[in-house]
Order: sequence, then C-alpha cells, then structure tokens
Amino acid sequence: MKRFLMGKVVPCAVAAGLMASGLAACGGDDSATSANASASASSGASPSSSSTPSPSGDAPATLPSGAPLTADKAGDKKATGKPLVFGLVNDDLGAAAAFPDMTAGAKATIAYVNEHMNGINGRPIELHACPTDGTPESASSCATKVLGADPIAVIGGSDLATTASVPLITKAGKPYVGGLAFAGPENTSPLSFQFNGGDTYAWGVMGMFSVQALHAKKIGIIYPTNGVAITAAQLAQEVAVNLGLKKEDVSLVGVSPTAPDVTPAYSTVNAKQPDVVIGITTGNQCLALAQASKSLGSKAPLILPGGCMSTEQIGKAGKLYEGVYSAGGVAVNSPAFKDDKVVATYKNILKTYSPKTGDVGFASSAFQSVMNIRELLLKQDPDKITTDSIVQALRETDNTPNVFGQPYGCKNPPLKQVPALCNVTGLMYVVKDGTLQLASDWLNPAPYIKTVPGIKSS
Amino acid sequence: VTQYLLFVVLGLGAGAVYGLLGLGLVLEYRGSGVVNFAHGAMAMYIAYVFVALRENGSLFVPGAEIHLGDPFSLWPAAIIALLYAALMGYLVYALIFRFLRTASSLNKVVASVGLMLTLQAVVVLHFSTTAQTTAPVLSTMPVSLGSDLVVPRDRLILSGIVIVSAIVLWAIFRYTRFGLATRAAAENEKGALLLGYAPSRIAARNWIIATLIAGASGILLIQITALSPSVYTLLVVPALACALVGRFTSFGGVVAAGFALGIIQSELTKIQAAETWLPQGIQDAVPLLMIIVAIAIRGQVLPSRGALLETRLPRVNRPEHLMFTGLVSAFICLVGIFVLHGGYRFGLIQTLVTAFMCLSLVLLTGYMGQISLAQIAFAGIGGFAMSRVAGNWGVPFPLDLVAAGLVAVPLGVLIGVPAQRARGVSLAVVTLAAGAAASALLFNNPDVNGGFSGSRLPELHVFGINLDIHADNVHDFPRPWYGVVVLVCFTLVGLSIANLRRTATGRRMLAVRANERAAAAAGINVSGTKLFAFVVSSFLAGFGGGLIGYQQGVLSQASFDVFVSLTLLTIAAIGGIGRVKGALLAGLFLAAGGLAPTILDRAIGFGRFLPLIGGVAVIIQALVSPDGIAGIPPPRFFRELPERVMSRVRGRPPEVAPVGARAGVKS
Repeated sequence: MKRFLMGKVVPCAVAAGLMASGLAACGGDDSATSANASASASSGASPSSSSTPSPSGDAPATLPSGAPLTADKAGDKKATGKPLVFGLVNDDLGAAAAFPDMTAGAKATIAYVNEHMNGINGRPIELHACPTDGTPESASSCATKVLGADPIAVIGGSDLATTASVPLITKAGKPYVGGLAFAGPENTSPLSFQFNGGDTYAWGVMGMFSVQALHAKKIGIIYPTNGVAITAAQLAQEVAVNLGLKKEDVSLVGVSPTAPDVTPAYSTVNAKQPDVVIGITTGNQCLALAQASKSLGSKAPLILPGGCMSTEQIGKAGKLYEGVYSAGGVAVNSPAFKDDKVVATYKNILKTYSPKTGDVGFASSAFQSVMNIRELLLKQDPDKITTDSIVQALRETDNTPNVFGQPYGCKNPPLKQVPALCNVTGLMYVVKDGTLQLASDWLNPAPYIKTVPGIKSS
Repeated sequence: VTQYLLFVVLGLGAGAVYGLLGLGLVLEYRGSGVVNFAHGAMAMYIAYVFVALRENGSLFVPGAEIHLGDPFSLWPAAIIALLYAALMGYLVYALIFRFLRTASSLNKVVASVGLMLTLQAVVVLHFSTTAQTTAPVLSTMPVSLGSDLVVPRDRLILSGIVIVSAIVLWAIFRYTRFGLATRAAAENEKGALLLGYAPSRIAARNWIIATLIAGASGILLIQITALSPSVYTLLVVPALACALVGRFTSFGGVVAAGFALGIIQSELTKIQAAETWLPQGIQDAVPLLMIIVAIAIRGQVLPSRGALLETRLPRVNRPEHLMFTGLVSAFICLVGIFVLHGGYRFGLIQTLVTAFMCLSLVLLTGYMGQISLAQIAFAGIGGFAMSRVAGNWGVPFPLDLVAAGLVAVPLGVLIGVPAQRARGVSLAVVTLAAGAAASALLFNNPDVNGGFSGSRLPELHVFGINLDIHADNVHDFPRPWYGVVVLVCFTLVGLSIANLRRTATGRRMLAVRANERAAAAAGINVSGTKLFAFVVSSFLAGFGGGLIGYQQGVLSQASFDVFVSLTLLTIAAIGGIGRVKGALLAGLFLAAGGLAPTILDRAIGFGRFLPLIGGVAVIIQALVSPDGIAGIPPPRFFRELPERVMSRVRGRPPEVAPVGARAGVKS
C-alpha cells in the first residue's frame, strides 16, 4: 500500500518528467533513408559525414520515418503458434511523472502484430507488463514479477527508477531492449540495447543545431537542478564546446524542479545575451518558458524538448510557439511524415487498439521497440528463438534498418562510454504557422561528444 | 542595481504563490488546529476542475468528467471552480478533520497526508501526469518599469492580489464577529463555547475560506506554470515555511515571508550564474534557513491552542514476553524467507527493510513524540555514504552499515538542535524542509548519486560467504541470505527498542513526551533526552539506508525523495508508531512492494488503484484507529498465547489478565 503513497511526487520525478518530455515528441528517434545521416549514425562517423543542419528553409520538407515494416509472407494473418514471452516494466502510475502511453503503445502494437502480421513467423508475442509508480521499490518488485514469467527478453519502458529494475533484469541474463532511456543503467548495461538515443541525447542534437545551423556564439541553457537534467545540460554544453564555442559562452542556469516560476532563470540567461536559449524542462514548463521568453522580450530563438510539441500543446500555445525549435525523433504530428506508410500504420494501430492513447509521445517509442524486435527475430528460426539468440542478434547489429529511426548498430555503438545506445541521431523541428516543420535532416552529435557527462569512466 | 531590482520584481511571482498558499494554511490552522499538508494538493485539484471546465466544458469529479456543454469562458469557469472549492473545503472538514479535533498532532498530519495522496491519485488516474494548461487569467504582456527593467505584468498583478487578500483577511479577523470568534476559539475553545460560538462551525467556515483561497491560488498559478499533480502539491513545502515564519497567525507575516522567499530564491538564481561555487539546489534550502532563523529569534513557532478537549498521544505499550514474541516473529519470518520465492520473497525482504526504517520512528516519534519527516534524508546520507565506504574503500560488512549510520548522525544532531525549541507539527515542518534541502543539495548532485550509473554497491560477502540479494540465475532471485541479514538486523534492533521502553531511558523519553516542563521539574535532562533520541534515530535511519542500498544494488535519488519521508511517517503511524510490532505491520501491509501488497496485486491485479486505495485507507485509519493497526486488540486466543506458553515453560499456571488490561499503557 505504501506504493500508493509513494507520492514520490517530487523533485526527482520532476526530473523524470523532463526527460519524459524530451522523448515524448521524439517517440522514435531516427530514421533510415538519408545517406548522409545513415553514415553518421554509425559509430565511426566523422563530423564531416553528419548531415548539415539547416535552420528550416533548406531543410527537407519530408523524410521517410525509417525502415519499412516487413509483411508476413502469409499476408494478413493471425499468429497461432506457441507464444514468445516478453516482459515490460514501465512507470504507469507515478504521481510525479507517469508514462502509461508506453504500455498502451506496446500492447496495441503487439495486438496488431499478433492479429495481422502473423506475430513473429507464426508465434504470437505474449506480453507480461507490470506497472510501476516510479519508485525503486515498485520497480524492483515489478522486475521480479516480470522475470517470474521467464520472458525471453524485457521490452524497455520509461522509468525513472531503472537503477532498481534494469540491474535485476540484466543480472538474470535477460536483455532490456528498446523503450526510452532516461539517465539510468539502461544507457550503460551490456545487456541493454536501445534503438534511439533516449531522452538525454536530444540535448546533444540541440547543441549541435544551435552552433551549426543557428550559428550561435553564445548559448544559454536552463535546466532543473536534478541529476538527470544536469547531465542533459552538460551534454548540450559538451557538444557546443567541441564545435568551437568556449565553455564560458555556454551558460548553464539551474532552476529548482519545484520552482513555480521560471522567469528569474530565463532572465538570468537573458542577461548573458545568448544567441540561442535551450530550455530543459518537464512538460510542465514548456509554455512557461515560451511565455517567459515573450514576457522578457527575448530575441534569442528558444529550443524546447520534443515532449513540448504535442498537437494539443502547439494549439494551446498559439503564437507563443511560433519560431520555437524542438528536437526529437519521428514526430508523427509533423507534416513531414504525413504520407509515410509506417506512420500511417502506427496511427491506425493506436486508433484501432488504443484509441484514447495519444499518438505523439511514448506510444511511438513502444511501437519502435516492438517492431524492431520483430524485424530482428523474423530472421531467426521461430522454434529456436531464445534469450541467447536475441542477445546474439542484437550484439551483431550494424547499420541495421530501424523502424522510426536511423539505422542502428549495437556492434559498434556511437558512444563507447554509453554502449547501450545503438543510435543517437535526432531531428530538429520548428513551429511555423502552428505546425511542426522539419528544420534539419538527421543529426548525429556523437562525433562531438568526447566526454559523456555522468560517466566517470570516460 | 537595475539587474538586482529586476530579480526582486521577478521574485514576486513565486513569492505571491507562496504567500497565497500560506494564507490558506493559516486559516486552516487558526480554525481547526490542523497544519494541512494537503493544501497544495487541494489547490491542484481545484485547478484541474477549472481547466476541465475551460477546455472541455465538463465538471471533474473523482473518476469522471460530467459534460456540461461547450467550454466555459473565464468567469463562469472560475466561479464554478471556486464554488466547488468551497464545497470541497466544507466536506473535507466535516468528513475528516471535524472528527480529529481531539486527535494528536501526529494523527492530524497523517490524515492530511492521506488526503494529499488521495487527491493526487484521483487526478493521476484521470489526467495522468501530462501537463495541463489553459489560457492565462491575467495579462502576460511585458511592462517597462524603467529603461532596462522589463517584467511580466501578471507578476505585479498577482502580488497586488495577494497583498489585498492579506489585508482583507486581517480586517475580517480584526473587525468582524466571525473573525473575533475564530481568534477566541483558537485561544480558548471553552470560552468561545460559553459565549455561544460553536468551534466546529467556526472551523468549517475557516476551511471553506481556506479552500477557496487554495482554489484561487491554483487557478492563478496556471498563469506562471503548467498544471501537474506533483509541482502544485510540492508547493506546500515553501508555503508551510512561510506560514511557520508567520507563526500560523499573522497574515501580513506570511505574505511578507512569501515575498522574501520568492525574492531570495530569484536573486540566488542570478548570483549563482556568476558564483558557480554555490551548490546547485541552494534555492530549495532557503525555506529551511528561514525557519531556522525564525525559530532562533522567536522560539516556539506555533501558537498553542486552547482546545476544549485534551489531545491524546499514540499509545506506547510496555512490552511483555519480549523474547518470546520477538523470537516467534523472527522464526515465522525466517520460515517465510526460505519458503517463499521470487516476488513474494522479495516482498518479505522489502517488508523487513521498511520495518527497520520504521523502527527509527518508533523511537523518535513513538517514544519521544518528535514528528520527523527527515528520516529518509538520514537514510539517503547513510546509503550514499555506504556506497563510497564499501565500494571505494572496501570497508567490510557490517562495519560499512555502522559507518552508514554514523555518517547520518551529524544531520540528526543538526535537526535535534532546533527540536529543542520546535516540537510537534512545527518540528514536522522543520524536518520536511530539511529533507527537501538535503534532497536538493545532496541527492540530486551527480557527484553523490552517481549520475548515469547510479551509486553502486559491492556484493555483500562476509568471510567469503555470499549474502548478496542478487543471483546469477533468475529463479534464485532474490537470494534468501540477504533476507536473513535484514531479519537479524531488524530482530536485534527491534528487541533493543522494545526493551528500551522498560528502561529508565525509555521512561525519561515518555515523560518528556507527555510534558516537557513536568519532566524538567522531575530532574530529567529534556534537551539531552531529545538529542539522544535524534542521534539514535538518525543512526538507525542511516543504517537502514545501507540496507536499502544492498537490497537495490544501485542507489539513486529516487530512493530518498523527500515525500518518501512523508510516506514513511504515515505508514509507521498507521502500523502503530508506538510499538515495534507496529513497525513490522507497517512493513507488511503498507510498504511499497511489501508482502501483503504483492500478494494482493498478484491475486487481484489492482495495482492501478493502489495509490488511491492507500490514500483513502490512511484517512480511514487515522479516523478509526489512531493507535494504528497494532493498537487493535488481537483475538483473545492470540493475546493470551504468550502467557500460556511461558507459563508452561516456567511450570506455573498462566497469569491471564482481564480483557483490555493489556491493550496498552497510556503515556
């Protein structure tokens, strides 16, 4: 019962929230198609091989969302074989930050795969999901419960308490695959495999875009003072500094996660006359930051996390969001993906199996995870799929097509200090006339990250 | 100078919010003697009602939205939301706090925390944590106050609203019959009753006004921050600090404290950008500093209330058949550890770890009467310290756990010093602020919490024997030996604490708890006794933090969140804070991931509603059984079992006391 109590309401969770926001609009992260970008997505990419960010205008109007889905040879068919058991541990219930869309998206996608795509070569996916409330206690309890079902793998969720769950899962030899990495061991564990850069690496993309596309000489970063967000801010700073800015020209201004007003922090940043302001925030402060920018008469472009860019938020913000940039993966509410077949399939799945779940956000990350796992396992004999075979296959991925993202490669991860992130590329968007337009091709910040904040061994 | 002035003006926004919430807290305390930890949550709830009316044209009630038509415009939505707030205020008082008029401070705290959890759960179940917003109520256009001084207009308007509210409330309490009656009832309830004023009616009216103000705060707060269940609820921490500085009496004092707090935090934001040596999160330490300064200047910060009826403290039993009960309980747990598997065994270990943490409260709050909301901060300091001590320096078990406890002691002493002047709910607020400061300054620091990787602990080995919880084979997790380690720790400490009740030290603690002046007159060193309790309690909590560390393997900030302390106090109180048995029951039935919730969750699958059920259960328990689950007399057979068994052992006939005689000794 205490779980209920865990109003863990607070500061940390707020942190989570921030991160949540980052991913939200990111949903997936990357996409395959552009030759430039795909090259940069792999580890050895040099800075010159990265796509050139463009401050809108000459940015592509549309992009493929990523790898196409492989249809079953038998066509639209329901899977009837012996189920393949997967686990899912996700924060559905946290008072400070909850991501139930992740679970809803996973369940909806799996239902579709089982009923219309013949599962994985005839074997349906059986999901054992356990909702946590964002506390380590419930995360441990859930991990234990899920492992009790003896899954062949655990699909990654969104959880601020992965320090309690991921070590249990990986210690049991089970891979933790996909989901949305925040700042926990899902980034570093040898048995964790992420198809996108998670929330944190969106900040690296922002730093890269600020310098290369917006030609910023000074950057101001506002971040909530908790461990997760500090790491995010330092990451954006790291990228900007490695792109030629002086460290003192990238000012970091902390604001209490529980502060009711971000205006003083924004004003502090403004006093340094930045060319760009990056706002690291929970979804709670998206509009507040945009409002502060306007109220203080700031002229510097504002960059917010993708989680700030749901259709509803853009609509409510109105003119406040005009010209505001954001970073993320495949934003399914962007016109850039309006004709994309995979995005259409994804939207149709949610409409059919989970109509109350928003399509922008965590559900898209779950869709990416499930579909990528399926794509990987389609190449295996369905009767010989085991935990070991999944781990082996994931470890050998290299420039592998990625649903909702750039190709990923766990064999040579882009950042050796963060080996679980098999792809760290992202897109930049800008709000124009109330819609989310592409502002860049896929960007890969990995070449500009020499020291990963929060990783001592680096 | 202009820059500093700018940040003064910018601090007014947050300051106005703190002040407005603080005014509501003062009304609730003046009207009913309740320090309402749910005040921020009530503001949050009404704000959701307002947003639902504005955006969806529907009335939000627990579990549903009643569609009323097109989205409402500003004023109709605000009026309906405020009427809703008034009704909510009345119901909260009439259904909960009216029945707690004679309850102990602890019970009132527990009930208000239960209310906070319930409101949060209701909102999260319906809206999730996705931020909600609606069009701002006030103009947000910038206004120029000089050549370089451009500020948002709404901050100035908000400040004006708060100042006017304080003046109006002051005038009401100074000049109206209602205000005078409230003051009279607060100072002398019996006198007010003799003059024809019903204290409960006065209290109800104050609650209505307080909730109206909370609702207005929530609606106006949308102006500067998006609506979410957590941020609004947390605002109660700085608001409580402001109310405490204003002694829960002075409206002007509360508003002044609110503005001061907002302005200091704003200026610190600016200063910190230049002075990078200042620690991150220092803004969150300001409420604690304000409280400490207020206590140092004024002494006791909460005015005493002349209540009509005596408040009753939680019962503290004089334990009998200590060894028998302790050993039998330990044996049952030991059997459980080896018989249960997987999640159930993990649930039992979680039960024991939480029960160990609750022991620190049995001593400090149960025996000593000091309400502490900083236990999890002690645990955090101990846990993170132990990861260094054991991980980096190689200090072996159990010396590393002892070190974890010792590292937490200085903070215990630090809090024990203001406890010489603040007690009861005042101390609860002090310790809550201390916990928030520790969380912001320490646990959020990547150098402490380990950043990406978390703060890792080594495997637990003693003389080459593996006692770690983790196993290489999933079917062996959790390993039972770690459960045995925790069980041994709990049994030894539990027996010691239970035995302490029978010693002279225990009697001194109870005497101080009952009446400090009388205890001092009897020659008891009150300060020393309090400090002793804080030292031992913080040591135990730090030690418990180490146990949490070994249980989780990797520590992060999430384990030691400030509101986890609220949870811990609440479950300890519901279990029975005056008894070691209560700590075990709290761990068994109430611990997150404890054995009973694990069994129920797997049997019924009600996990989604657990927060709501828990919040409601806390309120009901506070109303029905103030002594907690442990205070409910067991069936006669079990009550007499120890005596019967012991008499067999001794070879004498049982000395079975009459029913009720063993229920407890009122202290």
